Amino acid sequence: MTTLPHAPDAAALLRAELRVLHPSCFGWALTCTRHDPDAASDVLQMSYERILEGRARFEGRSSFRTWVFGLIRLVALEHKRRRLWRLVLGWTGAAEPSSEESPQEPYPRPDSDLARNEEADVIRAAVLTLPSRQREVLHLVFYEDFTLAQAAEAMGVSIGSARQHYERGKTRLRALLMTETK
Amino acid sequence: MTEPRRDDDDLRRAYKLLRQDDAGQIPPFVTATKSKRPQLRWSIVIGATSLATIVLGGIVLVRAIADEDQGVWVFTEPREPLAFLLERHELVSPDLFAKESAP
Repeated sequence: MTTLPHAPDAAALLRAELRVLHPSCFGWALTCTRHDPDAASDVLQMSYERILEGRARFEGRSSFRTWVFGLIRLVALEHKRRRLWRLVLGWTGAAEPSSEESPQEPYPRPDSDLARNEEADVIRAAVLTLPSRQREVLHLVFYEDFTLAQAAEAMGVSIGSARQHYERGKTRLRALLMTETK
Repeated sequence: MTEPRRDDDDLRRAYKLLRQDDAGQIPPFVTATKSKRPQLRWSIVIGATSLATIVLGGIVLVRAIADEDQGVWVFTEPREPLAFLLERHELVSPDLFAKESAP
């Protein structure tokens, strides 16, 4: 995609929209990175950079949120591929914790409501056993309230395929949660 | 038409819990271009240095084994380049390898 100069107003507008979407984007990035907060944070950073530098351009074919989610998914796949190459090449040099904005304990979990956290952990463990497509569609529908059409667009699949993953994912997740609660 | 239904409330509730749990882990919104650029620059520097070393090494080797009068030597035995270099720089007697290979 060609890089065109961005008007300062447009960049500020994009930044404002991304700031609003940031919590949802992080949840989605977590799903795309198998719940790895560091990888999710990297993926978000790379996605935002692409958008703000004009390397990824929103052309209004879908809603902005759906488009951003699609981009995050692609960036997460690239990130995963790059990580695999690093593993294969034996280069484990991780990116330095670069800025002063990164705290020592990046994502501390609040100690309050431990029981709820435990329940969330059980659900997450079950979700993580699902195949990625099923995990993604269930996240988009139940976590983000996407319709199946929007989910299919963000995932880059046909609506028929999204529907199939959705039905199978629901059945499987229910079975897993039933097993866990027994 | 399969759209999210009311009887999916159990899953909706499960995902709501996940959402609440994730909320405590959201990193700050940062859009400064800081992340991968230094790494990329270093990769380019290391790659270019490696390439330059290989190319220069190749040039030095070819120059070392080239005979100005006869053009570049073509070696048919693995030990020939070493023998040639040693002889050329007078590190061994010129007939050392000749003697070895004599029947």
